[in-house]
Amino acid sequence: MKLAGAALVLFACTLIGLRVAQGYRDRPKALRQLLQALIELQSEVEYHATPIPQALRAVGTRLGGWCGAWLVDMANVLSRPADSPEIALQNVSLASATSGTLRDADAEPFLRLLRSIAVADRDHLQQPFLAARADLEAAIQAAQDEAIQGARLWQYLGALAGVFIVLLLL
Amino acid sequence: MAGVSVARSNPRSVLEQVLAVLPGELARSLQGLSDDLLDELEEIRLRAGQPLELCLRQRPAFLAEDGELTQSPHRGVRVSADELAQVLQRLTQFSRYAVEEDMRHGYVTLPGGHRVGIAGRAVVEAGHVRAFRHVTSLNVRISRDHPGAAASVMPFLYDRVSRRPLSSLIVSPPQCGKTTLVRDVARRFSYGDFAPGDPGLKVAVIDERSEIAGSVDGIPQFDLGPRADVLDGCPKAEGMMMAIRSLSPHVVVTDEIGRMEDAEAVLEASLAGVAVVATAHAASLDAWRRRPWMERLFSARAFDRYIVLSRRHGPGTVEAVLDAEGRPLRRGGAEAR
Repeated sequence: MKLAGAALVLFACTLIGLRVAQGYRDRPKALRQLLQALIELQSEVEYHATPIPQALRAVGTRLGGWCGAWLVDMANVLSRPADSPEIALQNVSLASATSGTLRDADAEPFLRLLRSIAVADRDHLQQPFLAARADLEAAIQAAQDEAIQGARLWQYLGALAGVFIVLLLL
Repeated sequence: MAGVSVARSNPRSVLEQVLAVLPGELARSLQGLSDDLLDELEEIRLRAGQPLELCLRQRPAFLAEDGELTQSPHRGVRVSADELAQVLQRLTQFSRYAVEEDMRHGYVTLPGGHRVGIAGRAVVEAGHVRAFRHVTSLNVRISRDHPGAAASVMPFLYDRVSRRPLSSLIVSPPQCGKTTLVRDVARRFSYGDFAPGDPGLKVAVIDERSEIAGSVDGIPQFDLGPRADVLDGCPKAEGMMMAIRSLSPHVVVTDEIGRMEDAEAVLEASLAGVAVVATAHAASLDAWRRRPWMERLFSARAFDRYIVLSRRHGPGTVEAVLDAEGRPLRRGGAEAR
């Protein structure tokens, strides 16, 4: 009985560790999806001069998944009468869209971009996109570094914590 | 032959797209107006620091705090500069770049074909307006559909002997119903509702300002019939040539010709055997002929018919229908919407 309990604790702790480690591994992938969305949005906006709500909807529909749903949510919010885009966009959470893989702060380059291009003319669209792209690429690099360290750490930490608890209980 | 409906648009549904861009408080006040007043509404004028003005068919008035109309500017609801900026953001869908070209010409078109005129500090580059900063006034012109508006002039726009549509120019000062009339002409040609027994015609609508078709995302919001192809947001002259080359239209319909390239495109179309139905700003045919490039069109007999409109009995009053040489075929004045 004791042995079964110890195995269960060990299994649960290892699983928790693996899950946290997976979160670290998923983060760069999720950020890369945001970058892909940004690149597609840039061609919609720069080449077709599509207004932001329609561009977000078109790219979101094409991409699908959580990223597509998040973009379509933003498009819906911007299409509704509201006080201002800043207030409206606060209601579209990136953290909820990615079930916690990304934080709301990760959407900041995207939101900053939307604020900049809202008042830009066609000759000045490229700069905000380049800035947002650089920010996202830096975030991806940081997330990759974190993933290498964090994923390995949590992978072992989960199992080790399980062993530690088992030893304490025994 | 499928006839067009004569039902008029519901004044509230017409205003929906306009109210969506107005700040909540102003939109609620306007929603409180009666259907009759909304039906009479032609323009909503927003000026920074000034009361909200409503231009009704018969008279202008200010919207008071209590939702009533007043002639006293002191009782009117004031529009703040912040509210105006907010309206502009919504008008442009947070995408100034998407309407940059229109804004250079001093307007933005809302879904549904409502044109919003802009005034403020112009940013000029090489002698041309590049943009507006510090927008201080917006004039929302309400666009309405009036199926049947062209019923009385249609017999003049089609030659029943040669069975071909005639090139026609609708002339009037602003706000006399040119676009409404040209839209109904396009619809009637498209449906085949112009001569009993004759089939409908292929109609190419060159809608540079999105007012004729009132397109949203390229899809016409006004009924233009089953045989209409719409080039939305396309420059008139270029659009006319594109349509003639690739859409093989019987009739090309466009709004507000006035530039040299427009005149050349109309001439090109008439030489290609395609009828052009267009509009132009002028108080009379003579006034129109005095505009640069237009006398050339008149002398070349590019148009077979001229329809002169006024507001004498309300928008859409047909003052006269003239032939290619400016001789009256019909004197009017009694018909209006």
